Amino acid sequence: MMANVFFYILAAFILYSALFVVSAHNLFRSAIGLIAVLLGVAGMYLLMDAQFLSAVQIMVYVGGIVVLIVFVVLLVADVTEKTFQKADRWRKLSAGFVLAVFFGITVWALDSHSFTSASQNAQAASVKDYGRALLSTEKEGFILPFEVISLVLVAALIGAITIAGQTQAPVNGQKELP
Amino acid sequence: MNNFIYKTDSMVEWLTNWLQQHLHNPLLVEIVKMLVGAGVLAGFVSVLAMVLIYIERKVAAHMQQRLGPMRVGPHGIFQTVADSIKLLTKECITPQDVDRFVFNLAPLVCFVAAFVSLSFIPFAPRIQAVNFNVGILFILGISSLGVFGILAAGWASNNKWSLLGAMRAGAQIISYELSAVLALLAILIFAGTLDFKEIVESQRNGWWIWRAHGIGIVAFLIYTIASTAECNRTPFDIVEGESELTAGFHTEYSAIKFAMFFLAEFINVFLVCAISATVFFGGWMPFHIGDMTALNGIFDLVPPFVWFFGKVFALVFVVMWFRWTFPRLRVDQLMRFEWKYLMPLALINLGVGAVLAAYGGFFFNKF
Repeated sequence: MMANVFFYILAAFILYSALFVVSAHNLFRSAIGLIAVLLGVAGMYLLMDAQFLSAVQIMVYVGGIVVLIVFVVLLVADVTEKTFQKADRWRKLSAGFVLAVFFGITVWALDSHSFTSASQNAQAASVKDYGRALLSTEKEGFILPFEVISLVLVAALIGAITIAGQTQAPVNGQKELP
Repeated sequence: MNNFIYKTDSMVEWLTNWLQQHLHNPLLVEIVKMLVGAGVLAGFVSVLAMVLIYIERKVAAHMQQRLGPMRVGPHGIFQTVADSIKLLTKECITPQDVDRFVFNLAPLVCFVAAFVSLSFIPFAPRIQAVNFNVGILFILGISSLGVFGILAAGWASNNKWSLLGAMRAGAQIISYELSAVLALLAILIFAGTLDFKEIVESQRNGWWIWRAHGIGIVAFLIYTIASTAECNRTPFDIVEGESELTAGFHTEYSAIKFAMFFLAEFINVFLVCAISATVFFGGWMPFHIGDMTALNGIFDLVPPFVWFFGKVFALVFVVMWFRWTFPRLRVDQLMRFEWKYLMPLALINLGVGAVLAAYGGFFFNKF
């Protein structure tokens, strides 16, 4: 009962914020909307008893990614500037068309699939379970994806350091940028 | 009734039973419990901020051989009450070219982030607004929402000083968060849990700062430095360095919106000290030495919430002491200190701690 009430409140909140993200007239407001959406989704995870997932969602997306986005916005945008132009008629029309098609496909997909209700409530996994699953080499372990992702992250880090660490060319332009 | 001071868990149970007898409807009981929790926490926060501001002013004054506020009430204890009334009744000025929506939202975000984080802290057995199995992770996540509030405030003010202050704040908080988290992680490996309640329970035989073979002490020092920086307090207050940025991100704020930033700052100071007290100093656990039952019995006479607040306010005092001891760092010094010294040290500490914990190498593990 309570969970249902919270579900609808959260769902309305997420939908409203998502609309705000795409309809806000500057980048910073969109970022705020994005934070609201991500927080709402974290709330949804909480309703499903996935507390760890919810904490990670807030930590990684809200705390990490959106703050970085905001940082970039701070560097490029100005308060008084309206970053986005009003869309012209053709863009509005085509956006409406794409939306209608997407809506149709979604309704069709939901309608043609018969959902069976779960035989039992999902169990909240503890942090210990996550840790073991991430590092286990058995059949249901995630050691390979885990290691591959760490490799990708290391590559990204090295790339970032190489790009940021380049020595700048002298101002009067004797040497080309490497 | 008298026993409730020591056994706050039985008080909570008694309250729940009383509610169930009088309301009959379990849903209603849940709602009333939520409201009571939120109300108590809100009251606590407003009193806490006033007390902390009073303490700050008195500590500052006595460090400089002054008396501090003395006029309003005995030893000026009503000074912050008067100040709060003044701040709440002042005219709210909004500059012309600000982004109004973001400008009004920013102080709220800062305040809500600090307030929500406080609800995970266990003040005494079962006196904890939200019991959560990943509480500490959640607090660390929510605290970065506070960064966003500061960035939003600086951007929406449409003022160079504010924007610069906000950028500095963002860079500083994001950098120092790493060291703070790594330092906490070293202890969390020993405790083996992310749940505040269990972290406190795991220190029944001794606080982690002693038990973890020096790892605890190093982690505590790193966390104290990093968390001071996260709260933007001197010596890390380049965010609002008055001599260069007027007041940083809150230059354009006045009256109640300014009060909210102020409130959030002081709650954050309390919060980091409370986390430190819980993780390193056993939260509400009394001081116990091994199996010396007589001594432990004496310490047990002090109620848990006195232990908790004693520890937290001792740490808060240390943070205030910093302010009148160290000069402010420059931006480049600040960044170099974090990335070249503090974070590598925290990483090494974490590695050594992990090895020690894996071989069960900490004190008092037999009890």
